[in-house]
Amino acid sequence: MATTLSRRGLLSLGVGIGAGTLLAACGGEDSPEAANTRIVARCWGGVWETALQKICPGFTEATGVEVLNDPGSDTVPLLQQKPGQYDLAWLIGNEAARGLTSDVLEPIDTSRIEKWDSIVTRLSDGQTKDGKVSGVPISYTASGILYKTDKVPFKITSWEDLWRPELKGQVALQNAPSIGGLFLIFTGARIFGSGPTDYEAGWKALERLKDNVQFLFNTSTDGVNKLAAGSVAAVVTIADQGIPLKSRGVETVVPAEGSTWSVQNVTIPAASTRKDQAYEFINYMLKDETQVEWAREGKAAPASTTVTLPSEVSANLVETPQIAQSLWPIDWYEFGQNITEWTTRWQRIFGS
Amino acid sequence: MTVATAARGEERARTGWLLSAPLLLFTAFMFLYPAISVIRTSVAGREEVNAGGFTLSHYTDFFTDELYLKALSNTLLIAVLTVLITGVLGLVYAYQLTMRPGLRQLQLALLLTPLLVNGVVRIFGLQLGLISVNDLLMWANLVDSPLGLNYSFTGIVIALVMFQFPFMAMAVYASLSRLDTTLVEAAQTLGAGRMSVLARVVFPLAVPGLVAGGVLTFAAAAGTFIVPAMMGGGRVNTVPQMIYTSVSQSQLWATASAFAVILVVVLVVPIMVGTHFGNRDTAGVR
Repeated sequence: MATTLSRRGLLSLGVGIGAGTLLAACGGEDSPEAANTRIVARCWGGVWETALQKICPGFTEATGVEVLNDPGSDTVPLLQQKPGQYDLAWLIGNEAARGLTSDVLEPIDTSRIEKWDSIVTRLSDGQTKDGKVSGVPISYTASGILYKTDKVPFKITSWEDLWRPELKGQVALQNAPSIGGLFLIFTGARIFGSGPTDYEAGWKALERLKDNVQFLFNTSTDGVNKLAAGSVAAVVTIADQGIPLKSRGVETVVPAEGSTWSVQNVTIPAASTRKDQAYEFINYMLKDETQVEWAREGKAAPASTTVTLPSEVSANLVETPQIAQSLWPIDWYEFGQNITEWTTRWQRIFGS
Repeated sequence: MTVATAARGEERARTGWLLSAPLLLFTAFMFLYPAISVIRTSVAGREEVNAGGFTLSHYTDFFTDELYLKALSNTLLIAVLTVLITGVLGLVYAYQLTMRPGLRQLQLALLLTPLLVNGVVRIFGLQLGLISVNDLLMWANLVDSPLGLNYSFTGIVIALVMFQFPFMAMAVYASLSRLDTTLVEAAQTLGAGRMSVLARVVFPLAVPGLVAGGVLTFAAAAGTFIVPAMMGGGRVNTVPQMIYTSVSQSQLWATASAFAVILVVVLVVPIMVGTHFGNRDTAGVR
């Protein structure tokens, strides 16, 4: 018996074939030409993506390699889930370290980084463990205390001031697992303990700090916005964020005893098939003129020490050479290994 | 039945399958595959997606750790309170809209317009509004120190009520819009007071809408991440936050998957009870 399809049946079949074709097209491979002239980078959104949009055309002009930026968070899990999708990944210190230890990232061949020796030593040391380098620092930001001068009845000069009773319920910290809050373990260890690795002293200090904490924020801008609005008196965050708020009565302090910091690295996923182009991009990012542009757009201090920033750019950054010298050493590998346990402990202290 | 009729029936069945095939494929790809993947990962021996091995340790860890149990109780309490408050407000709103339908389009537009605004912006706006409330209360000498409206359990519930109220109100209104207002008049003629009318005439008719809105609100309130993250100020742990934390920095896929399965199972029970209750004829018709 011959089977005849009704109009609706044919329509369904058409939709099915169309959907199948679409799915097949989604999984299509690049042409060989495109494979060598385009790299895909996982980056952060917001100001970082904007900065990359301004910088990448120059790289394309110089090398003929186009950079496709895919902004988003949770990059390491994505690299695990989708190997081969990215040729570059922007990662902060502990993420890069974890990426390398979990074999998601390629160890950086520093001999291929033209200006490796010009990078601030504190930054490159933090990404190096047993001779393996997880990522190339491109820029960094120092942590600091931002406070409203009309709400804090004394001048903040030291990390220890955060524990003063006058700040009861007036401090905002970045929430774990973001590193901005967890840094205070290091701070507590140094200020109240026997040394930089006396983490138990750091935790005890955090427990004492709890009464002074009004809230924990998940994005750094949230804390700064509340400070500007006057609903909180002091915020521990990226120090550079305080500079635009000076006219609104916000003072920015990077205490003289030193500070923690965050670093913006470029890393190369182990599954990348365009590693040569990735190295080219990293070298381009470390060129002096690119570093200036990156500092201007990203509001972060250049990792290269050979860069002289124009005054209008340096005016927006607190990271002077003196502050670069006072950065505390951070072992991002140790930080990465401990972050799960530390986050849980943090939640036990601050959560209810 | 003739041969021709049977053939037509077969063809109709075949056409039906063809028609539903895209939807079935979509459901399988978008729901079943992720669900199976999550369940399988939740019992994996290692903290990787679809890793081999079998263990229930991720589940036992959850139920033996006070931190996670507290997060679960917070999640459920927040969801229940949100349902109760939006239910009461939604019932009153829908009832007055039914009884006084003047400017109904405008009222509905006002109800739904906030949904057009980005959720994060609404939360920021709410936070600033609650700061102003505290300032006002302190200015009026009604309180000595700011109330814990922001960054607290209360703040989360306030925000969720704000987010979920339109959905609850619309669901209840859908039930009450068919209300025969003569029933209310008849009850009043027979001597029923306003509360009695509400409780014995309006409420039973609103139950299907309350249940539908309640299920939506309960699931949304228990599953939300952004509201507790922003309004809780890191001081109130909930299960979605624990899931996010487990994956985002620590890549504890198996742990996060187990937490997600637990959350779904815990949510399914009250939702099924609610749906069962909602299906009963509460309007008194036998």
